[in-house]
Amino acid sequence: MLETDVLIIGGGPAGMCAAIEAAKLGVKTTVVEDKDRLGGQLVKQTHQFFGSEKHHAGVRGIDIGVKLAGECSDLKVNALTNTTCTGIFDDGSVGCLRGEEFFLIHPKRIVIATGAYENMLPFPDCDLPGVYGAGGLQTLMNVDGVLPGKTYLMVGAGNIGLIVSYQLMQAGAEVVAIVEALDRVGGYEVHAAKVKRMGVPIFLRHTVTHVSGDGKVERATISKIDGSFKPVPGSEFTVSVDAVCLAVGLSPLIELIAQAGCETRYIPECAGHVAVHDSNMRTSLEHIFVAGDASGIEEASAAMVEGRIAGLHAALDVTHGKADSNELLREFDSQLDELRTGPFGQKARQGKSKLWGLKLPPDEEFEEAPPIIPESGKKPVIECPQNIPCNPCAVSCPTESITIGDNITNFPVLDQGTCNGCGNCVAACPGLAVFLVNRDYSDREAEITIPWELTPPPEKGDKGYALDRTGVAICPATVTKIRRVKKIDKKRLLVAFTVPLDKADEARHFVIVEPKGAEKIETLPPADDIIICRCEDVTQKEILDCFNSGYKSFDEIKRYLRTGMGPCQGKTCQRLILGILARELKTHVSELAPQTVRTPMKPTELEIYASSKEIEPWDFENWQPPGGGH
Amino acid sequence: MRKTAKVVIIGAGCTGAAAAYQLAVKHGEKDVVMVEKDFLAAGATGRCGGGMRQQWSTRGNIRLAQRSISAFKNFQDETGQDCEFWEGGYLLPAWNEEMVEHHHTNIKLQNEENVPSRFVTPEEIKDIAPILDTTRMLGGAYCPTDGKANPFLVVKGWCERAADAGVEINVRTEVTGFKTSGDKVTHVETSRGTIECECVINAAGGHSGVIGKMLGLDLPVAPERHQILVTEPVKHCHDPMVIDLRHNIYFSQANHGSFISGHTDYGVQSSFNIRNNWQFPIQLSRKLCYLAPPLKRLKVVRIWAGLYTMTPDAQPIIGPTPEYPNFLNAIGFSGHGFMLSPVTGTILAELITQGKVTVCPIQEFDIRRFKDGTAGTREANVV
Repeated sequence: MLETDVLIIGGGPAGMCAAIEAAKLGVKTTVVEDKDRLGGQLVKQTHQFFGSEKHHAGVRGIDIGVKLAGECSDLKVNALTNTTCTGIFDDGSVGCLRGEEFFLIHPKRIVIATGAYENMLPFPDCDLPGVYGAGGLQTLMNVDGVLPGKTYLMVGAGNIGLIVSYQLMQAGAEVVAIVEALDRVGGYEVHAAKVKRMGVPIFLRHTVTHVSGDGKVERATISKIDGSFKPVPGSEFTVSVDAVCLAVGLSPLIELIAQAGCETRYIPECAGHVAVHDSNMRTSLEHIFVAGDASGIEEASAAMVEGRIAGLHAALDVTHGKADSNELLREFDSQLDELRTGPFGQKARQGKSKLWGLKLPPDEEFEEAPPIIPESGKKPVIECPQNIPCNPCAVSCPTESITIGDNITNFPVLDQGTCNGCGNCVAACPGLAVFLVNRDYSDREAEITIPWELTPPPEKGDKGYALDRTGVAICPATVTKIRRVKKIDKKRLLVAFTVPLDKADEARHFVIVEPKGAEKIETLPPADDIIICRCEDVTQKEILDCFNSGYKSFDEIKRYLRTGMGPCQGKTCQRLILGILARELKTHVSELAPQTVRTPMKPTELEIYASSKEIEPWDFENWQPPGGGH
Repeated sequence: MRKTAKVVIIGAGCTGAAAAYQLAVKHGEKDVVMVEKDFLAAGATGRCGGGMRQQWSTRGNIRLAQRSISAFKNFQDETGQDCEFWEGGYLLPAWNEEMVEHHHTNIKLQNEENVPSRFVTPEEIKDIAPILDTTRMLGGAYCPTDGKANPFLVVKGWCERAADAGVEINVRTEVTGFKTSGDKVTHVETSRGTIECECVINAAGGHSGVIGKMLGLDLPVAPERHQILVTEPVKHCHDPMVIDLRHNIYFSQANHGSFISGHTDYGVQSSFNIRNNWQFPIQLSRKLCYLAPPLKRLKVVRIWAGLYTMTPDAQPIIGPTPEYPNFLNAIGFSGHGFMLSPVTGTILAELITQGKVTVCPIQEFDIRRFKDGTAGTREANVV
């Protein structure tokens, strides 16, 4: 049994920041993390963060993770890695599983920062090997160094779908297409631009209808969908792929929150059921706080600030408010406000407003970005068309020629008069959205400098093709220079190549071999049913039959079909089944009861429980009932 | 929802469902409305281990169990619903001379009622249940015709057939009170309206005392938390339900392959609390690993709890309430309601349609036994 003042469950961005703030107040702080290191999702995030300096803008996620873990270690935070919290009990103790040991932690305060889990998209044969969640694929690729397929179909054009597509190509895989059910790209346009100019088509209002193959994914069929997300007959086509990657959203992971007995509520803008919490991140149970994706899906930058708020309040409870942290708390609040401004912060703003009973903030529309197209000389072209909260271009500029202004979601403004064409902004932009265009390179040629993060990089003198913003080869190009701006980013290269002068405003990528588009192949008929609960092999048809027999809630269907009774305890199927029920009952998921969550969160061997030191060993030879009872 | 009914059944667990089925399908009384505050089998029925045995220490329980098991055996033929009935037997190990004696006494009583239980040696136990460590066992009581079934499917089968016969089943309908006239309950008030009725069955399980209070009755029942766990499924390797009275544990392998096991909490107090504590999996796993060492690497996937509704003698209360003769109780099954439900349904249907019970004697289950001092010995074979 381990005593601690503040226990943080989950060592991701929110959890680490909670630990840092709690430890800074001098209280005994413990983090429980089920992976072998602190970092959470950061350990696989090879892209740079947006935001401002205090949100680690321009730093790669993986480096932010290392930095925060270092701070935790400097502050003597007790980090228990490879440890899973399997239950929170009414006597205040927290059950933990570490290797072969089940033990308890007795904290005074708990911060639950368990993050999120990936949504599953059900379609015929969606359980064929080769269908991956984007997060899982990212772990395989960026943490374990395994690329499980060569050609991919990406489903979902949110930030995760776009980023993972880009990373797949960085790893040498081919992404034949990205399909997106909505009529717009959900992620940042700059992330979409990165993959589009590399030749990946993004099909809006399209989805994957089914996959097929002999024991593994070999082909994926794509279809146009109508306004009610139904496939349009006759519009389907099939591509040859060996993997389909699903990036169709995240749901807050609230198992422990629900099992502990915290009140939960379905908030669509938070992407699912979340713990009811106040702006101090305190749940309905006084001793439990929540932070990060578990309290509503947002970017990691917001998770980190939420973690700081939760950690600080948890520690203040323990010190009975002795430290004066008001100024710090105001600072955190204003940081969160900043991150939640603009159209991309809208969902988070509205979700939290609902939770806190505030008036819903109005919808914000994207502004039209002013084009910055220099006419002569060597100047940056900033292709940043959305109000992203981000400023590294301005911060990196040595001549202060790029300015953002007070509001971090403003568009960058370039003063061409003072700009010296150094290219720092090309190296700094986390969205890879700044290009250097030198129209004075020669009489007939312009030189384009682009940010480059692929391997192998081209070499000086390489001849190839320039691609336009949609990935179409438009003209021959020759590499003139490869360099790095080490003080800004040690890894990213700047590749300069020449194109005919009239292509200066079109050429945005360089390849040596001309790309070819994906070939369409024969469509096979889909399987006639869809697996919904993978642990217990329950299909959509069985669920509908059960519903039609009168069992109209998740808990009833669970009892008759065993959905959610497997090792994952409904992580995958609960969301899908509630969706089916809502559709059939013509109601909203928020009106339906989720299942009751049970300990243990992770299947635990009988022998591990039996050998726990939390109860004195028993003498079966001279059996005395424990406590002299039964 | 109907405004009138001959019979209103409160609770859609196994007892209520059995009563509805017996009344409407077997005894021709179709004017029945069932009200359930949650959904079918949402309470103790849906949380129990699913076992059924005839190895009891009191004649009353033996008789109820015996008649119930034959009903479960014929369940699919009668209802068309497969209830996963499995005749795997029940084994009760003996660890000392006192237990050997206890089992012999009970076996004698059970044999008198034609229950084929017998005393088995440790060697025989090894054959019946190879996963058990019999080293320290002196033998055990075994009955091959005991078994188990899936409680959800049982309730489903009964309710569907009852509904076919005309019973109105109202789920998500909570009883809020009663209207009475003299010693008659005349109306049942619910969250969805009032039903005028001639007769009420209280089959509300853990909440039956709450229902009684609405009539000003102080029913001698106490809800008590019982925790239970389930492991990951493995290939079938174990037939009987094992009940170890010395170590306070029962376990069996379900049709689905998972092992299900529970015990009576140490120092448990009467309450409606069905949340789990951290002690339970440690305590239970120790006993399970001691009894059946080959199971020790099995993973526990879920722990839950349900309410036993205890009476002072751990035997049920079945029949009319003296204060309100048209208010029938079928409560206080003390953890064994599921296995006794078929015969309970028959008793209730006979009481209502014939005014007398022929299926078996029921005086032992009369509520007045606790007041007039005629209560017999406490049922000893309870875990």
